[in-house]
Amino acid sequence: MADGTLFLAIAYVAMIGIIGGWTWKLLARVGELSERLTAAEATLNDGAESTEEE
Amino acid sequence: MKRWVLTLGIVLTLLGLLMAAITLWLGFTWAPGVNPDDWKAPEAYRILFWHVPAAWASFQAFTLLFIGSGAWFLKRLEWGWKLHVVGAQLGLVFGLCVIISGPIWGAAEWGTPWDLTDVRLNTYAVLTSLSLFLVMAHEGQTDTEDSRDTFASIGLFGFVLVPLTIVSIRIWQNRHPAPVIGGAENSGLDPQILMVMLLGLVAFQILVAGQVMLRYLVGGLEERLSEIQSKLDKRY
Repeated sequence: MADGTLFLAIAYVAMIGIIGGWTWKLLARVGELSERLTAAEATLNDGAESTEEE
Repeated sequence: MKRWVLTLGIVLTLLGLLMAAITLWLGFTWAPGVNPDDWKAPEAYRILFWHVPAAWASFQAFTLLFIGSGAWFLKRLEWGWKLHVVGAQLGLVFGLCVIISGPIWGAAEWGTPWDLTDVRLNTYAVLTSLSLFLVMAHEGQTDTEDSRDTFASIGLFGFVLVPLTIVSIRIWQNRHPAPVIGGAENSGLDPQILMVMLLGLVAFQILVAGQVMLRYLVGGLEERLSEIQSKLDKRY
């Protein structure tokens, strides 16, 4: 490993972890917010319809 | 939700990741080795296939931070503040890649991870620390006009470190290797190595573009959700 292969592997694992982790977190956040927004909009519309009916 | 922004953001992010993976594969299998007599850890040079593109990606992010900070500070533009936040986060992500991989290469090649007398290393470390501070401050501080002004001014003045970091290895080169593009004579790279590194540069630029779109979208979704929640709070 005197040629630096081990150091190289550690560096790439770290970079893959940082970029992969951040991308994963970003995509998961988009999915979570989309679901919450759909639910919130549905509640808002339901409330509006029931107010009209009354 | 603007569907096309989401689709394009995901496509660009995945394309960037795929191209970065191809860069890595070519860097390990196709790019030739360097002369083992000239380097203490010759195989470790392959770090540059992601290290340099990550550094350029971070400069791209810091430029967005600067533009966003200026737009907020001078014109109170909301998109400017969002760009400031996105720039700080991506600057931290890619800055961490550089600040972690660099010292690991340094430990293999120089026998020490850091050299406090090297200007390039120190200015880049301060730049990444600045983005870390901004990201933590955005999370921890109440979002007011005053706090935005403070962070935007830090983003504006901190950007000075970007050109300083870029020119530092041309003016005060010490430990850090000389620039490989537009550097002095004989500082260039083997054409195959250069080709792989340029592919990496394109990959990381596409990745940044995709991630900026996704992060911007997250900001928009959070805002919309907050608006609906306030409406619901008023109603019930």
